[in-house]
Amino acid sequence: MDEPHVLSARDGLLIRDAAAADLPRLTEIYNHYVVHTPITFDLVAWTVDQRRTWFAQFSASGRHRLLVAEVDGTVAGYACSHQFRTKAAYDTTVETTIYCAADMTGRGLGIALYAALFERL
Amino acid sequence: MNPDLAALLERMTRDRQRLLSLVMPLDAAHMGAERRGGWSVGRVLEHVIESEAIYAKLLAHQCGKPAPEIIAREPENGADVATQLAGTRDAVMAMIDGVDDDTLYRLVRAGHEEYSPLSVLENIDLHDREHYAQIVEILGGAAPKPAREARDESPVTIRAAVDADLPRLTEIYNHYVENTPITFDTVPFTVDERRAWFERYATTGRYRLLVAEADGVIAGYATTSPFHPRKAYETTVEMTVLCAPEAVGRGIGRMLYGRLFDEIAGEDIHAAVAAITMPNDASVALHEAFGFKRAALLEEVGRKFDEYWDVLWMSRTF
Repeated sequence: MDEPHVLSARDGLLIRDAAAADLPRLTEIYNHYVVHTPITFDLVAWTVDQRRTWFAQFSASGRHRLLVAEVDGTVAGYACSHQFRTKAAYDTTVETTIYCAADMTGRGLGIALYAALFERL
Repeated sequence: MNPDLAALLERMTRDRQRLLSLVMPLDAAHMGAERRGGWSVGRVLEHVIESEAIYAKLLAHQCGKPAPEIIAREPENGADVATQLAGTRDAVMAMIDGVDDDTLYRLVRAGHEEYSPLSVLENIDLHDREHYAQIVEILGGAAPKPAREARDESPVTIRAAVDADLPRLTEIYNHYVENTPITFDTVPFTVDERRAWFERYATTGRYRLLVAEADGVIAGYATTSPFHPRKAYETTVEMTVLCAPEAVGRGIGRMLYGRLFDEIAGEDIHAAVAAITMPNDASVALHEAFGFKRAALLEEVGRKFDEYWDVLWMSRTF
C-alpha cells in the first residue's frame, strides 16, 4: 500500500484562524463524529445555529483559539483550545480538541493544526 | 520527566501514603509491639527510615551529588515516623533532581551488587510494601481503626439538605474558597449567588445534596453533581464532600459518603469521579475506602494563591 501523502503548503494546505463563514462546514465535520462515533460524547447532531455559542467562545487572541486547516479552499479539519473547567483557578488550563473531516484523516492535518495552535498559545 | 521514573515515583508515593496511613495513628505502645524473638514495630520502622537514608547516600554516589547527612533514630510514635520519613524522602528526591536518563539507568557497583538509581528507587518502594505487610502482621488486632468515628462528640444525623441550610453551606464552602486550594473557586459566594448551585439537587434522581448535622449545626455536606454537560456523560456523577474545618477528623466524611452511596444506589448512575487537589492524603484515603481508584494526575492545572496545583482524578464504576 502507498504511504499516505502528508499534505503541505504546496498541496494548497493553509492553517488559519476560523471565520464566521466556516461555521456550517465545522458543524458538518463535528456532526459526523457525533452521529457515527463515540469520539465525542454529544449524542445529537447540531444545527449550525445551535453551534454558534460554541463558536463564540473563540477569538484571534487570548487562551481560547479556533484554527482551521483548509485544503484547496475547503475546510478539512480544525483544532481549538477552550475552557477546561469553569472554576477560576482552572483559567490557566485549556482543553485542546482536534477534528479532521472523515475523508481527510491520515494526511498530517492534525499535526499541522496542533503545531500552529501551540505556537499561537 | 523520564516515563520509567515518573511511573516509579507515582508508585513510591502511593505505597508511602499507604504505609503512613497505617503508621500515623500509632502511639508509643504500638511501637513496642513485637512477636517473640522478632523486631518491634518501632525497630521495623527505624529500619525503613535507616534504609531510605542509606539509599539516599547511594543515590548521591550514583548521581554525583554530595551525600546527605541523615541520622535515623527509633521513632517514638507514628507522627515521628512521618517526620523522619519526610526528611529521607526529601533527600532521595534531591538526589535524583535533574539527573539525565543515562545516569538513571547506569549500573554502578556498590558492595557485591550493581545498582542503577532506578533500581535503588525500586528497592525503597519494595521496603515500604514489605514492611507495611510486616507491621500489619505484628499489630494483628491491636492496630488502631483507620476511621476515627465520632468519639465523645454529639451524635451526627445525615439528611437531605433543605433551603434553610443554604447560608451555612455557603459559609462552609467559602472557608475552603478563601483559605485553601481544595476548591478552585477563588472568590467567596454570597448566599444568593450560591442558589443556582443548590437548585441542581433534589431528593430523587442522580444529583443529591446530603448534610451532616451535629447539635443542630451543619458540620459537613456531600454531593453528587453532573460531571460534564455532554449527553453521553450523564450516567457519570462527580462526588464532593466537605466538612466544616472544626468538624474534620470525626469520620463525618465517611458517614456522608456511606449514606450518599445508599441514596443513589437505585439511580441510573454507572460511574463516579472525584477531583482532589494534591496533596490531600485524607481525601484520597476516603475515596479509596469507597472504591475509587486513581485515574489521572493532572499536573499544575490550577493556579491559586500564586501557586500551581496538581489535581488527582479518582473514579469508580458501579
